[in-house]
Amino acid sequence: MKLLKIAFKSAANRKTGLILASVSIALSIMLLLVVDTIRKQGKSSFVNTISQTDLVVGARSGPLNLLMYSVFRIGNATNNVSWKSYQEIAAFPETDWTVPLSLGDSHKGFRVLGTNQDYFKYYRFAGGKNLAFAKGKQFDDLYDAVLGSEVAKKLSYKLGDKITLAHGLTSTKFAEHGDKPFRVSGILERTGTPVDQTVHVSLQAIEAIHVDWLSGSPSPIKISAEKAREMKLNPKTITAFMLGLKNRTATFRMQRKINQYRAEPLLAILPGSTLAILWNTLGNFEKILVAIAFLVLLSGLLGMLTTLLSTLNERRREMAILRTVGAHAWHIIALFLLEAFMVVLGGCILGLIASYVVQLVAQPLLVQLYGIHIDIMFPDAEQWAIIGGALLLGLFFSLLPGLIAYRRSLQDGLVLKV
Amino acid sequence: MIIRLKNVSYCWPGQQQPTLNIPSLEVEKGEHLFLHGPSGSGKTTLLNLLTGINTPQSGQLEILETDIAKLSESKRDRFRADHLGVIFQQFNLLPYLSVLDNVLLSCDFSKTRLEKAGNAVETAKQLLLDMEISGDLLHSKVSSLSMGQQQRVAVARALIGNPEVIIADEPTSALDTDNRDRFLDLLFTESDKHGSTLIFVSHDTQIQHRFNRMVSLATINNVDNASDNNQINHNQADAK
Ligand SMILES: Nc1ncnc2c1ncn2[C@@H]1O[C@H](COP(=O)(O)OP(=O)(O)O)[C@@H](O)[C@H]1O
Ligand SMILES: [Mg+2]
Repeated sequence: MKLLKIAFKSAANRKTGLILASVSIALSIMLLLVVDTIRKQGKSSFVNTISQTDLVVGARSGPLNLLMYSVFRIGNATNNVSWKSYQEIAAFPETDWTVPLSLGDSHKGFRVLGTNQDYFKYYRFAGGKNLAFAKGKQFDDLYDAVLGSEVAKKLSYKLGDKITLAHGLTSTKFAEHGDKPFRVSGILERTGTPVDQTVHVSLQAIEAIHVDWLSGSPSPIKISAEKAREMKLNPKTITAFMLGLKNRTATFRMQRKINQYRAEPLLAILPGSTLAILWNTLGNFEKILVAIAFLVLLSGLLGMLTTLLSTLNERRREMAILRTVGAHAWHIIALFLLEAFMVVLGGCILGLIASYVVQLVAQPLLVQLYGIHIDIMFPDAEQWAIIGGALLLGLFFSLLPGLIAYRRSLQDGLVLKV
Repeated sequence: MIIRLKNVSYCWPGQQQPTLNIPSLEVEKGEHLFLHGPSGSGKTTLLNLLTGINTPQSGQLEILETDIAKLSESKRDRFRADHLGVIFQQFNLLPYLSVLDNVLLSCDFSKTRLEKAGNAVETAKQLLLDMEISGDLLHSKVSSLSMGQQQRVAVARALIGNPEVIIADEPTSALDTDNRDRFLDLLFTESDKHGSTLIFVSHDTQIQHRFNRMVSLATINNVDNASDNNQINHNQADAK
């Protein structure tokens, strides 16, 4: 207890260097915790984005590209799938169900997805969970919209609110479908997937808001919302579709069949394995980050060691005084251990707090940029082990200056050069 | 007999000649011993042996009937904490502790002295008062004290818990005459009051008359190599 007090007061007397050492350890702990959290949660969020969908089909491009725009709603399709091909494939004997996806519009930065009511029936995530409604119900009327939880929360929408969609992904006054407002008919429960960031409307609604548009710009002839209701609103193209098979063993055969489809060049991917490939490319990056974080931790601890070693000279007299009043060798070593413990513990606590701050800041960015959702998490066993390991390593490092200080106190004796 | 040395020899590691070779030295209880000798003659080295910081390569070194050279290192530390009070030439105090805590430091590492001190805080305050350190300095920073005050605080720390032997290594060499005399007055009064034996090392022969026994290290140290010592000193000076 008395030793603790001495250690603390002595350290407080030399606080600048020690605080700096603490901060550099805090930085590395923060980096380790954040990287670990993103690694763990990112993976589960990622792999859980879509499940029980056997194939995702779009115009021919790269598999990752198709996955990104259809599932994560990141980037754009270069080509569409014709309604005719979609209908034909939907009618294949192997096909159990399909869900059309039509992308391209947005609402205040959130993507708008045109689909049908099967979407709410067949879209599964997190190992088979269904979409559920927090409020309201799926779209019924032509101008109904169903909001993902994040959309409703961010823009504080409630049932019955009117929203206008924008043409394309950036909203400009010029490119708004302001004449055809939508009514919020339902708000979904949080899923931790890109669904949370999506505004869902029917395929017909997508057609309706574009009836008076010609090749991407508004035509001078206006067709009112009510007039549009009476028109034939059959889509000619969709962006992609999800497909479930009656028998999963037919997956590869079906994939080949679609890839060799004559009428137009299509691409079918297995979302699960494409996700895994994508995660692996991210995974290498993640390994590098973990390695960097460990190196930063090591350099933080070495920084602390340097600080402790550099204080050895100025602490010579301190050690001599303590030895003459009866401090044992282990007291001297313990002083260095305690000091290192304070520095590393301070660093760990600071790093832990900083990691929460970073997670809070990173959370929305990760969702927006990569479709990866992370929950702010309390450190798990592994992360406590990282913190404990840092503490042990810090104590181990401080043995060196402790032993040097002790040996010097013997050599110096009472002869202390002033 | 409180201290008894017999054929004690000590050689610093890395040196050819022993610094000390003392056939015999005895100190009686309550004595005020003035040990003098030129700089570099080995006075501090002898004190290192008496305090058990270093141990002689040969010979017997008994303090309070204990051959401290035969004790284990941690027992020597305990022995030093329990029975010896030490005062250095200067900078005796830990700068990050208050004046009072510096005095109490002696009790922090020794149960014996903690018990002997009774109410340690009160005892420390009384000792500081006796050493003419005013009460408003108790919680001050050590660095705000004058050199003379610091040395007197060091005496209070050496005396608390009544150790049998007080060892002082040139404690007055950094003080002016007035402060030196005041320091000695108080040191004598207090160590007599506590019945402590005093081993006082100095090369300042002006004060030797105040002690009841005077020993020149040269006369008890059998290393007859004044020239060698000078040689070593020269070498040290060159190395610097
Ligand atoms: N820490 C040390 N390491 C090695 N040699 C030392 C050390 N301290 C003193 N010596 C040697 O012992 C000799 C005596 O030194 P010292 O006991 O300090 O003399 P004094 O206290 O009488 O001035 C010195 O000349 C030096 O060579
Ligand atoms: Mg000396």
